[in-house]
Amino acid sequence: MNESEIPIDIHTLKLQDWLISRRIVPKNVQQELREIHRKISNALQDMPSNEQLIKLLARTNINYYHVKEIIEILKQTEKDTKSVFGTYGSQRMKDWQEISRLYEKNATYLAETAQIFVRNVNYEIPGVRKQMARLEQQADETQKRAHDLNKPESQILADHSALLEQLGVKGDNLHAEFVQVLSGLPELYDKSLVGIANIQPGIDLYAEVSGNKQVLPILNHLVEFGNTTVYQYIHKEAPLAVEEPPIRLNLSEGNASKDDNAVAEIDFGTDDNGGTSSTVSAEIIDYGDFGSGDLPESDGGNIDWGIESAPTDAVEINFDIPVEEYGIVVEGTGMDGGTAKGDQAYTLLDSPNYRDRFLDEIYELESFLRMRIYELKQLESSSDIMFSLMDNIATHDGESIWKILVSVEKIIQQTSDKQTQHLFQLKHSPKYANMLATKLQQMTKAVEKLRATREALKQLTIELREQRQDLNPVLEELIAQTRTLQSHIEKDISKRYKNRVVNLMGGVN
Amino acid sequence: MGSDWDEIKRLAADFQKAQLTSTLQKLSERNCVEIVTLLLEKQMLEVVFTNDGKEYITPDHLEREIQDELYVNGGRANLVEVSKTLNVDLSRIELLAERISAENQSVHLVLGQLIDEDYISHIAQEINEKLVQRGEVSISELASQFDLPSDFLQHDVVEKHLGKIIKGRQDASNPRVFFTQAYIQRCKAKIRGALAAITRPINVAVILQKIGVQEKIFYSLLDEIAPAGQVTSKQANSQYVPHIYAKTQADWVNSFYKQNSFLEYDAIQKLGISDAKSYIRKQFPNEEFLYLKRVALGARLVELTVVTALNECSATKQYLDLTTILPSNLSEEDIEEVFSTIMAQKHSNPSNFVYLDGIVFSQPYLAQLVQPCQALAESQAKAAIDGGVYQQYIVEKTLAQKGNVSTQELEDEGKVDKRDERRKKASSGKAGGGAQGRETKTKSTKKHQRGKAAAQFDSDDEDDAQQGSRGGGGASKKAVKPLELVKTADIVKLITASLEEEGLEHLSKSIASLYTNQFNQTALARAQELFEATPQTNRRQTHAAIQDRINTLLIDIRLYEKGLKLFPQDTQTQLVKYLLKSLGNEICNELSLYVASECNLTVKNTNLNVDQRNKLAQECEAQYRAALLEQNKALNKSIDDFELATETVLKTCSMIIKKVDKKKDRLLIADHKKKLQKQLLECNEPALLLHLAALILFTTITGSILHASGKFVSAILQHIRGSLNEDQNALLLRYHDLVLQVLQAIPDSNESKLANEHLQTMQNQVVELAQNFSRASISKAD
Repeated sequence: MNESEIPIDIHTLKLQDWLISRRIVPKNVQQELREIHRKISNALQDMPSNEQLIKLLARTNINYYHVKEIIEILKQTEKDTKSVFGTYGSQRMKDWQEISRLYEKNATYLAETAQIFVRNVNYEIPGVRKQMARLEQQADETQKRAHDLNKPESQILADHSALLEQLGVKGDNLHAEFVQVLSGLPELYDKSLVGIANIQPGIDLYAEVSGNKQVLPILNHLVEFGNTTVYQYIHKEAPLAVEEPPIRLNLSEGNASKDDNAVAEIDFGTDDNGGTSSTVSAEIIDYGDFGSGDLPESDGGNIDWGIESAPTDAVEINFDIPVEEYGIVVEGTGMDGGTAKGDQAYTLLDSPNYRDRFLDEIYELESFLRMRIYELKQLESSSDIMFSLMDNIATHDGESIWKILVSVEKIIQQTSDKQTQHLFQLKHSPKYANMLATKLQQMTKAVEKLRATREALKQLTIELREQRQDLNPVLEELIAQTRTLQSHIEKDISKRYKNRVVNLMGGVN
Repeated sequence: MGSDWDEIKRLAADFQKAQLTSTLQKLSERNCVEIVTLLLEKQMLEVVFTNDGKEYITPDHLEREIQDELYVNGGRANLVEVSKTLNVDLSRIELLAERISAENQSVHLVLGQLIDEDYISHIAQEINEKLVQRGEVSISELASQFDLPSDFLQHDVVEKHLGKIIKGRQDASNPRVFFTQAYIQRCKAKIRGALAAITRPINVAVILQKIGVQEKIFYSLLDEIAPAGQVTSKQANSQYVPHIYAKTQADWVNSFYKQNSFLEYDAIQKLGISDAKSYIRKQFPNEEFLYLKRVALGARLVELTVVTALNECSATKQYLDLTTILPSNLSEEDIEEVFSTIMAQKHSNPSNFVYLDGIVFSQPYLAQLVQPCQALAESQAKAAIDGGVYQQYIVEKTLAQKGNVSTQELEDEGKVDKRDERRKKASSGKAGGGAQGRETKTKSTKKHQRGKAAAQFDSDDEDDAQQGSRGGGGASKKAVKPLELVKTADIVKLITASLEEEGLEHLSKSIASLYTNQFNQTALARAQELFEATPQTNRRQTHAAIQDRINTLLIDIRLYEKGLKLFPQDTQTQLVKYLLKSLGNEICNELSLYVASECNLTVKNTNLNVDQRNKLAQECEAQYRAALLEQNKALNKSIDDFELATETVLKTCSMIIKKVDKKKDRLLIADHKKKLQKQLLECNEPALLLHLAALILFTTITGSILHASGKFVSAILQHIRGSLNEDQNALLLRYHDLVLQVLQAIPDSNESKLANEHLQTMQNQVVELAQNFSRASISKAD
């Protein structure tokens, strides 16, 4: 029997066509299947209460092999209706047996089984696998995005720290900290003018070359007297008393501090009554003999803000002082004449107007010295005649001018560094404090948002991975079911062909 | 009781049905998707899909979420980021963003980003802060900082809030630049400081780079500052020139001129002035200057110092050292230039001075200085005459002159060339003088010399002739070289002692060279006088004489060659050999002896053979050696070769071969024949008589002459046999036989005596034959 030993190989994609071409299944099998399904639906309306039945019927699809199992179960539940001839009198049994017979007629059950098998192999199982891959990819991408947020977070944190450092504060209680660092502003001014005496030769050289003894007046004053009040610069004598305008830091309630019990707003406005204020200041500040000595270089540090806020009838000082009043000396009775008020109460570097003029002069001197050095270098490579000619003009060589230039540039650098600029703006610009606080707060909020986003992304990653894990049993069950159907089909065809071996190619491997 | 149980059964069945039905009604995810898709297809539902396809969202809700996202991001939201955050497709987001910006005026859609007014106010404050700190900002800079379009920044942010949130000013020339008044003041201060430091011209670009100011601001603020200087232009390479620079230049130039009365061009150029001359003219409009190559001298300086000193030098007959009265900065070239310029003026008399190495000599001073040289010339002339040097010089000069005359006679076209050459020589001689003073001195000397004596004048003419022929051969060159009786070294010895007293001994050679030619001429004139008083002795062969002789011999050789060609080949060869050994040898001897005398070689024997001539040629100068050796070799070759070799030798001796003149050939032949006939009449020896008779008959018959020895007589008689009659031939043959008998017989024998008697009786017949045949030949010619 050689023929019986040859295996039958059927490719999965061509299984249904194979059954039809071999006359096992008729061409109109779909119509019969629809009729059978309708009968199954009707039969499901009346089912006995049985655990096994409930489990079977929980599925969405009922095929021939499920029908077989139902019949076996019904044999148990309907055994009372069995007659002596072996037939059942129960209507349920009759209905399901009819369905079974219809399935077996023309091998309709085989067609249905093949259809389900092919659909599983081609669509269901690959679909589940693609879904698993996509979920895994999304999880990876989400994790990467979460990781990428670390860099901008670090950047914003660094910017935030840098700004706090420039301001010289910690950021916990901005209002108090601003007040504190502003009290150090006079010290910064004094520190930046430590080398002011070194530039005197440069000023002299510039005056000599330009033929004008009155050049750079503010620089001359600073070299001679230090960082005095504008009053002293204008009137050429030290004031008897200094009444600097109060500092107004308008921080909105939300920006004030992180503490809940912070004071909303502090107004340091004081009484503008000249007599009263003068009297109070005179009593507090004791210079010993009146007019006998110069003001110390750190005038601002001696003012106690607490005392200024003692009066309860404070009003704001009018800053709009006409320019015409600058040059006018008010000769009042008693001690009014020697008081520095308003803009004149500031030191030269602390006054908005005079600070700009100071910087203008220092930059002018810097330009002068730079060009002198450049020209001297040019002369060194030039002829002797020109050098001896120019020697009458310049009394310094390149080396000494270079040293003066270094001092000038150091003063410029220290006077214009970021911390000093921030504090200066903070003192003289009401909106500046709020802007700084808002800026700091925005940085903080940006960091918080980035962190929240990262957490959300991490959570999403976890969820995606869980979904992917949940698909594992679904896939396994589907594969098992498909293999069972494959086994059924192979056995059935084998019986039709003298028990030859039947192999379904391209199935689930 | 049964009906109750039936009811219970029905209830149980219904319960079971309900359980199974609820299980079947559970919908899967795919069913939900299908339901929603169906609703969308039927236009019953409008939703937006998320990117992953798992969620649906309505457009209204999406719009609200976009607005929330805009708020959360602080007023500025990138649509791409919103798309990612909301998990919705970008195209959907864009459509809704456009709707939002259209509905709400305070929201802008710019380059894929939603921006609201709060954000704009915020960045306006930031811009103002930056403007306050730095003083100046540009839109392009802000665009890169805020990552927003330039136009949006300029119009909707900065210009909108200018004067309110942003306190600044817009640049009129460039609307994209904004600055504050404080910034302008600072730039002005920087510019003022920089310009004050500048003391010489400098590029504007360098200034701007050093102080960090923009070019436009610099030019706009420059006028406000009113600097002590000016800018050349507003181009790329403009320069700033401070006033102090020009003032310093002028001060230096003025003070230098005031102190020194002159200005060096180099020094002025080092000050930075490119055209020194025009600057001097502009700087000193009322001053007159003497502009030299390197220096400008004040006219007053020259007038007061140099001109005055020159006048004094001329009056006192002294010399003047210009280096002591002119500024020490002037170099020797400058001093010479000053002197030349002064001499070029109208009122100056250049012939009064001689300039040498910074020293100006007056003519009387120099004349007195070289006075002792006059006696030197006299003594040198006498020595030349006594030693025979001058006589030899005269002989050589005469020889060369004759050669030149002969040459001129032969070549008419050569004459013109000679004259031109002579004129060129004279002209170049004058130009070689160099210094102006030197040229003046030369002219004066010549005039003075010519006025002295007529003999000297003749001598000058001869010198010109000699110079004219200098282009000839080497022999001529040597012959016409002027005789040096007085040398420069001799003059130096005589004048050095006087110059040393003045400290000018370093100029002795220069001064001596000025007078060497003059005194040499004086000595030559004196020698000529002495020579003419002495009778001449010992004339030498002249160049021309030898040339004539060589030419005559060459002509004879040519005529003899013509005659010998009438004989058979073997006889020709022998005749050629005989001709070269006789006449050729003579020519070689003449030329060899001449060359030997030219080379000052001593020749004891005037009759030389080939070996002796070759040896002599080796001792001659190189220019003669090759030609003479070649000529000696040619004696063994053909006549043509010998003639070519002879021409070569003549060329080296500066001799000319005359042109062939066939008209003279007939005369020469007739003359030759007459000589032979004359010898014939005087001859008594039979053999010689026969030889002469044969030659005469040959010449008569053939019309050409022949140079042959006695052994050729039989050949000649054989040749002329055809032209003679039977009796004449018999006579000559018998005479020839008798001559042979006499020569062969023993002397003083009877046979010899008998032959001699016969020769005596036939002699007259032979002589008559030779004479008469000649007459008959003439008759035939007629």
